[in-house]
Amino acid sequence: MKNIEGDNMTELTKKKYIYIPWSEKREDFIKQYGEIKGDEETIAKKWNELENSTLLFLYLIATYL
Amino acid sequence: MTKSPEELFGERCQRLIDVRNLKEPDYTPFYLLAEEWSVYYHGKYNVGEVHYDYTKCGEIAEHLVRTIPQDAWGGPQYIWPGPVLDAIGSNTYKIPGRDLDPKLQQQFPQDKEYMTPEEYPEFIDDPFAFLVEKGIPRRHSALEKSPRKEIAFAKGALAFNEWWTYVGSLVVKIIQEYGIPPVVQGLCASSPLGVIEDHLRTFPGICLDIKRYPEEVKAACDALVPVLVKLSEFVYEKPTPFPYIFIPLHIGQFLRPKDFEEIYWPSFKKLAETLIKDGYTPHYYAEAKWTPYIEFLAELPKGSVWIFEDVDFEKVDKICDNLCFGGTLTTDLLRYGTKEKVISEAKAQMEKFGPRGGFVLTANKDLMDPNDAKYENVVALAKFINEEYRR
Amino acid sequence: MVDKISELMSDLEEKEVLEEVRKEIEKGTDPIKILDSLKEGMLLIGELWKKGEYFVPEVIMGAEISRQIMELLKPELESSSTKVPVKGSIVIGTVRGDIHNIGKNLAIALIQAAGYGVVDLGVDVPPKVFVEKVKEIKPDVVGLSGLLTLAIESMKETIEGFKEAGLRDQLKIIIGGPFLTKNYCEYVGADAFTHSATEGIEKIRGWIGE
Repeated sequence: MKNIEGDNMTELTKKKYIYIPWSEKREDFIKQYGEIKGDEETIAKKWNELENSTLLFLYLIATYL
Repeated sequence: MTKSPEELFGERCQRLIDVRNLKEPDYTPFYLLAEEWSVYYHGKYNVGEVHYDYTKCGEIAEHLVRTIPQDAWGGPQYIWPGPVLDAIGSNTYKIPGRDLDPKLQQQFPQDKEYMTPEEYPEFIDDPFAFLVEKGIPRRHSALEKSPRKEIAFAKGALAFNEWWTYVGSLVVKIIQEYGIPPVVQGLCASSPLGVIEDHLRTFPGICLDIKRYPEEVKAACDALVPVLVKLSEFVYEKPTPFPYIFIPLHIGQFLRPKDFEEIYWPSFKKLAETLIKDGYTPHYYAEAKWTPYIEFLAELPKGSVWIFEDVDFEKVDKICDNLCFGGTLTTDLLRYGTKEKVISEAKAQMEKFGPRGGFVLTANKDLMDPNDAKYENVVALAKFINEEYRR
Repeated sequence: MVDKISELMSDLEEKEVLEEVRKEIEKGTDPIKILDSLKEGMLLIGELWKKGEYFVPEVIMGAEISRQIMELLKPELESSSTKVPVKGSIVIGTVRGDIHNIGKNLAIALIQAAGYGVVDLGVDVPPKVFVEKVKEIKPDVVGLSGLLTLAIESMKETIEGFKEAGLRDQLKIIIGGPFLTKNYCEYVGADAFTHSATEGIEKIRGWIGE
């Protein structure tokens, strides 16, 4: 995925606005929603996808919905 | 010998990149942004059912592209899924099956102001913070207070993730099996003024603001540009001129030219210039009447696509050699014309504007209602283009 | 007759015109006379809209000023013994399924300024509500408004409803919406269509008279 590090809006979103636990507390998330199965690369890819779609979701509900 | 989906896909993408670059393509691209219209055309489901079970989009999409082959299609994003909106307690859109008769299309009533004029300074200072910290809880009732908002956001984000993954897989399926790319991938809510109008102040509200606080409104628009650049580009892995970025326009076309120039245009132009410079293509849907503003559009750099509902196309052709335009097929023609008339008009339009390079053959509206276009007219047109005109 | 109030109004001088209205009320000026100035101001705005000097935001500003003046005048009009004269009556509403009202509301502001009586049924109005109202007040004109194409079938159904109730011949029906064409107008069975309130008023003037 595109490198979104060091970008103001994204950093702000991840630090301040994503209240869900899976940005930082992945163990809690896994307890609640279940494990994402697969090798390390697959898991990393899935977390990345989820994080990106969550960011998109936030941007959309802020500006479009 | 029929071509493979892969070959067709390659040709179609090239066509749509060529017109964006104002280079005459092998054939004039033909596409219709068939939204809810495709649901009625398919005939099996109500629109409301699709809002609550978006997996129905698959068979609706396949029916559309199979019977109306075109160079690109609109994607399933004509719905905002009910479960996503319900999870966050969102009432900004009225959706069939929940707020409206399930046979109708979703509507955006703008019946409430979500920002007061007194808040302009705060918005100007940090528009993203304002949109997230104040706009979101005001517009989506389940995101107002903790602890409900954390749970509601998580639910909504997971539901959205499922939907977004589905959209991706359906787009890939249509590419792999039919060789048809999506017209748009990026989503931009509107022009800067359009976003403030649609989602914070309402149409009457922003009209009064323009009269009462013109400097604040302009400053608010200018401040919003980086946020909209980010929104538009976010869905792409890397810069690409195609698929395009969808940008519906709702307010500029109602302003008198003086206000258009001073308040609306600077931030609009900045957003367009940035997106184009970054390697993308803004694809504008310009509703209502745009003839008074054609001279402004001529200022934009090469690389935008404009679908007009109502404009003097000859004037656009003459003055704007910097943009690609479409919208010459009116819903009046598509709904009430005979098949023969639709075909002959389309042919005349392609012959007239095709050579300029920057021209796409499409309707002047996103097709939402059965009365926007008669099915048999559209089928006949697609057949003519694919089987006769392009031979 | 153009006077200070109507001129300030057509110049969209919000604070100044409200101040002027307050002054006139304090002086004891007949509220009907002030109302006439308001209407004149609104008509001037309509003319500027028609000429292409004013666009929709200016008309919305005018309607907002009008609303504020009416608020100031309301207590005066209520206590005044003179009844506000209206000529003709029009029933207007956005048809079933469509929830948009801005165009309709601007049209009503101009139609009222022109001196016609208007009954506004709101938005998403089912055909039978139109029919019942028409039976009740026997208007001269019915205006059916819609922003989206989905309004077409509702417009058709509403007009069918008038026919079934034996009311169609007593009415002039005008449909308003940005996508309308002669074809759509014929399809639904209306007498006229319009994209703008100023055009619509011309039609209404033709039917009801000055």
